[in-house]
Amino acid sequence: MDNRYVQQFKKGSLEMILLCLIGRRETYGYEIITNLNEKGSVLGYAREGTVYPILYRLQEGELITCRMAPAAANGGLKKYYSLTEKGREVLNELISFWSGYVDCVNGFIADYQKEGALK
Amino acid sequence: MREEYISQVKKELSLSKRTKNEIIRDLNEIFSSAVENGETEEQVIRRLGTPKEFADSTAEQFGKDNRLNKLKKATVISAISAIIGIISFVIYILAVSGRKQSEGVIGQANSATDIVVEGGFDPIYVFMTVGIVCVLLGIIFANKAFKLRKK
Repeated sequence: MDNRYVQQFKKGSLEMILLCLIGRRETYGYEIITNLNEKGSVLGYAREGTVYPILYRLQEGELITCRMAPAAANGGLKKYYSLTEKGREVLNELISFWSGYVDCVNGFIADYQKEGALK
Repeated sequence: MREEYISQVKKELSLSKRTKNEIIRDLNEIFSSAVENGETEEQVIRRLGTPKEFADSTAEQFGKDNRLNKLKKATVISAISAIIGIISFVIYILAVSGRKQSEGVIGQANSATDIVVEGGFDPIYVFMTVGIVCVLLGIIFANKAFKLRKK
């Protein structure tokens, strides 16, 4: 299940997932990766090589912002990401779009399973 | 390993200095966090992809085409080198032929040889050397630009 059709889906939704993760509470890179890997097994293994470029884009679009702070566990400085007001608005829009989108796709799937799959 | 990876990314990225520094800082954090959590640098690199992949997909997010930027840079450098090279050669040739007349070098004597024998270090060789170096640079960068364009 790792062909390029699946890849396309994952690519499109990763931005929204990242906004959700960062919207819960301030979080830093490694925590994001760990969270993705714990919860999103369907997504496949989360890679910094995919996540960071998206973080840069979200930052460029002013959907997220960051600040440097020492990590709770140890002294090292980490970059903590949080949602901006604009980010929260966009995320809410995306969420409502997503529900409509899922319903729509499910409708097509249901029709297919009722009629097409019998052949 | 980590240093090498980061310096490779730095080389591949064509973004503003400030953005570049930010990305390098993030890469350092990526490595440190993973190592703190008991991972090896190899594991991190596997997740990052090759330096080129990471640099290209990062630059893309800033609305920059890494390859196009590099192509532009190579083209500009090759053009400037070629111009400087040609100017240096012209100065060199003018200087040599000017000297030939003023010093009254006779007939078919090879002027370049004459000067070396007579004078030791001669500033006009600076122009010749600069000319050669610039033309070579011009060729190298033109070749690089050509390869980038072909891809």
